[in-house]
Amino acid sequence: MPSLIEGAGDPVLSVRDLHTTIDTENGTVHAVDGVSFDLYPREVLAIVGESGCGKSMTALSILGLLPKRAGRIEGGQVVFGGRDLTTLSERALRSVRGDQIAMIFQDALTGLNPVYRVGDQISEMIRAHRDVSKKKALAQAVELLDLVGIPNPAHRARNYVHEFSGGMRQRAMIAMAIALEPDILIADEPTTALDVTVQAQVMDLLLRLREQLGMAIILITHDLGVVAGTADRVMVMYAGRKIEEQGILQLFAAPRHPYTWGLLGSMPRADEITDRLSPIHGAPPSLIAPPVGCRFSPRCRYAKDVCRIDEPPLRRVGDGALVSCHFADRPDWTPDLSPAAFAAQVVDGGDE
Amino acid sequence: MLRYTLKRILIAIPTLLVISIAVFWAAREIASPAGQLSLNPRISAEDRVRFREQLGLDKSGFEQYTDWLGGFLQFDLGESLISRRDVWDIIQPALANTLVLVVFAAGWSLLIGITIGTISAVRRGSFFDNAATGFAFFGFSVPTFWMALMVQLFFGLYLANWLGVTPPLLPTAGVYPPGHQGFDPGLRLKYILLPSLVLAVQLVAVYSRYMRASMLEVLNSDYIRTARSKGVGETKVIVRHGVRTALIPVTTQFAVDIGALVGGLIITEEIFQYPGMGHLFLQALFSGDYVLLLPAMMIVAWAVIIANLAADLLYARLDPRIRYV
Amino acid sequence: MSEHRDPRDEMIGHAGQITIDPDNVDPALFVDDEAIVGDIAAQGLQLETVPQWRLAVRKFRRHKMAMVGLVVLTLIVVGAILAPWVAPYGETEQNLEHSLESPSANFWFGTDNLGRDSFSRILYGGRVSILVGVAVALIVGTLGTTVGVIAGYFGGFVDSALMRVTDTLLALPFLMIVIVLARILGDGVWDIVLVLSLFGWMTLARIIRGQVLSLKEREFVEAARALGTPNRRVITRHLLPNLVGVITVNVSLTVAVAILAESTLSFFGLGIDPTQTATWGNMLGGNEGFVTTAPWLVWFPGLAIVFTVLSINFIGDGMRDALDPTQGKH
Repeated sequence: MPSLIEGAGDPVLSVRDLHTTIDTENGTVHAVDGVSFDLYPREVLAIVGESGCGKSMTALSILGLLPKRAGRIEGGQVVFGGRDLTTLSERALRSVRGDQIAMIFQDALTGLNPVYRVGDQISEMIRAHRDVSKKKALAQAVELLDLVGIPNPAHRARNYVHEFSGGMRQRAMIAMAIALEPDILIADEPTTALDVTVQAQVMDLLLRLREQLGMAIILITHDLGVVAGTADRVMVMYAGRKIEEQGILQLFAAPRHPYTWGLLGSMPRADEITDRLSPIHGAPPSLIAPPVGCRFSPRCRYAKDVCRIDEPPLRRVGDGALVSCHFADRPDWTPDLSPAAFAAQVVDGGDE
Repeated sequence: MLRYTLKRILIAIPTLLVISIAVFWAAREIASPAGQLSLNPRISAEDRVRFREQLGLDKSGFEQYTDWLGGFLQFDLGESLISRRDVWDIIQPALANTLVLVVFAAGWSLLIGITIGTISAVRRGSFFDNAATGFAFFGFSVPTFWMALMVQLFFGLYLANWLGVTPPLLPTAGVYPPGHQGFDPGLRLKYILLPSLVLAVQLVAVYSRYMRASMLEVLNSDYIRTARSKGVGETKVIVRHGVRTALIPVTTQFAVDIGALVGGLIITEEIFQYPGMGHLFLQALFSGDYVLLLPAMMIVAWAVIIANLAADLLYARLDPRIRYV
Repeated sequence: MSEHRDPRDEMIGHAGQITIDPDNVDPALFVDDEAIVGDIAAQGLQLETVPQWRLAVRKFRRHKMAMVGLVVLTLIVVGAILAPWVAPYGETEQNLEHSLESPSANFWFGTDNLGRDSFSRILYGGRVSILVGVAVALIVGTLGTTVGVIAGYFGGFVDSALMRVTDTLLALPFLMIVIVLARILGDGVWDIVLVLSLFGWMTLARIIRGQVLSLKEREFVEAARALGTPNRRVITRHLLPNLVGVITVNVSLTVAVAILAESTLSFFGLGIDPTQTATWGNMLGGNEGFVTTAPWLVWFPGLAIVFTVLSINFIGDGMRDALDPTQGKH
């Protein structure tokens, strides 16, 4: 799907048919089961889905940061800078990590080393890729802390992680990630561990940095509210697959997949007064032996026999939306469609 | 850090005092000086009178304690009941011998143990790991005294016989050959080789396991993943981020283990007849030499507490999170 | 993976709750009960409710060395218990014509200087050594758990006071103190048990306290207290069941430590009186002089100790895999 940013040109990152597995005690989990997407320069692409859908695994796969022995990329390509990252040696990958593609994680308290000063950890990033003296790197670290809005940065650089507040810690981690002005920043649940007000500040910071440094951002989250104010495009993942992809406004205006409807419907809204939240009942399927048919069908209120047999392919619907659902191109396919009405129209055995 | 240090030192002082009282009481119970003086045939009559005075046996218990403690702190320890030599003259070389043994044995074993533990963790499930685990389990399942006997037997007798050399291949007793004078580092080394081997095996076994467990936990941490995501080289990640952080709980454990280390020392010194504090302690105990026993026990107990304090401070040095407690 | 906490660790934590057999069902199924049942049916699987202890046994069985240890230890323990019936000779039966004989068909482990059969004495000695080990472990278990729970649960001044005492005692040289106390108290079996127990409970107390501190934060404890449950019940019904794993593992390992300690004391003649009864330790102690002339006297009791302690250590490791939720995957 092309970028929504004017004049973006070619994608800066192309993921094609990525398959990633993790070995567990119970068997091999197909955490990422054939995922493809493009990332364009300067855009914010959000990857959304519930825990276990494979969004984090996708991100880790891009940088080759899967768990050492248990995780591996079974197939697919990750094309960046004219090279397929999945084929690169560990040494070559290391030169990409941090310098051209950087990543920040959910909890900065555990994500940063507790026994080293923050400034030193930022300089470590710099010195891993540039031939710079310790003193200079530390000075740059202080500048970076200033850039991300941490007051009294020179003093703060000498502090340890546990001496920072939650929001400041996350900013420090961001400062570390952008130290070398990477082309892509992957943010894995950057706000999940933060208070709501601090969340907004951090997201604003990310957008500001995107403007200043011109980098693309992959924003991974399960929180659509966070996505709403920040993303340009959204990709919804479920059970290791991509099931919907749209521009942000289009997604909120006309979501196509019943799972996305569930996600949106389960969000508390300020403009509606209800006395109950409506969660999506059930749980995602096991990815050790992925089921046949549409993976969401056991939980889908609209599921028909065809859904349980045939896995719907990802196809273009309407004005540029990518969806994997058998009924997505029905004209009445909106969240307001009641399951009963839908069932009445469709004769069992499949309609379209 | 300074405040923390001072605080710990201040807390240690009452502990030292309490321990000194306990040791004083215990030593008297085991080797009741009054009883010794009246019963021990090796003490002549004049000596008996002198010792009575010296030990202040006519004074109250509390006075005896304070008198003694005052003397102790000034290194005035009295004369041995058995040998009539100045106790401090007896203790000093023993203390030195023990320190040499401990530093030599513990220094190497901790280094080796930590290295083995780290490699085991990084290469978990490999042949190395399994072999190291097997060795470790064996190492801490064997009683120290038995291992010492076996080592003596093997190196003192069997290996020499097998090689066709007159036994012993390596010295199995003492610190220098009988009658040796002066300081000879080569000989010294030969003589502490076997006792330190025994101590080392146990230390390596235990600390390789601690380090392995600690490293395994640390390697699963988020900050390790963050370090990798920065493109930092794997060795640096493991050593600078992994080992450094994994050492923290191991240091804490070491502080706790210092007391147990003393036990190992006592056993090893005794079996190898190595004239250190452990051997001295047992000698004083068995001969009922109260005047020697009391300071021997006191020095050992205090040394352990001070070592504990040092380990505590090292821990604070390693882990910045606890410095302000 | 830090992202995915194994929900089975949570399940094992909730005592008495119905758990799902992890061998058949993906642990990610963990949302609400009807969903679990529905999903399982959708996958064509059976729902099997497995009691918590059965899960632990299953995990234990996978640990090869622990199983080997179990077999070896059982043999040793059974041999020791059945000593009066199984031993070919009496414990103190002297055969002076056969003194200091090396192992043979008549005397499997050889004889000592009084012609006593080593094999029989090892069986009889095992009874005492193992008894001491188990007794110490049980006392230490009780004492350590009590102190740990009280300190961890009540916190504040009680915690500080108890921990100061614990840490001070822990800092002292164990062997030296035990030797001293054994001299004061005596050399009977129960004297030694008492002495070893008095100075062995501290490590367990610290571990338990740590566990209680983290359990205290968990919701089910907060909920129980919010409901006004009296402390005693919170402890017995909520804390203790969750501590069973940790306690079991550590008590088992204490048996090994106690056996080593008793044998060390007895070896130096500071433990159990050899004229009263044989233990592996005092058998070794009495025969130290024969190490070059009759090494079998030193080999076999030592090996008995080593095999027993090694088995216990392996079993303890297996139990840790099976029960102790604090341990990550080994």
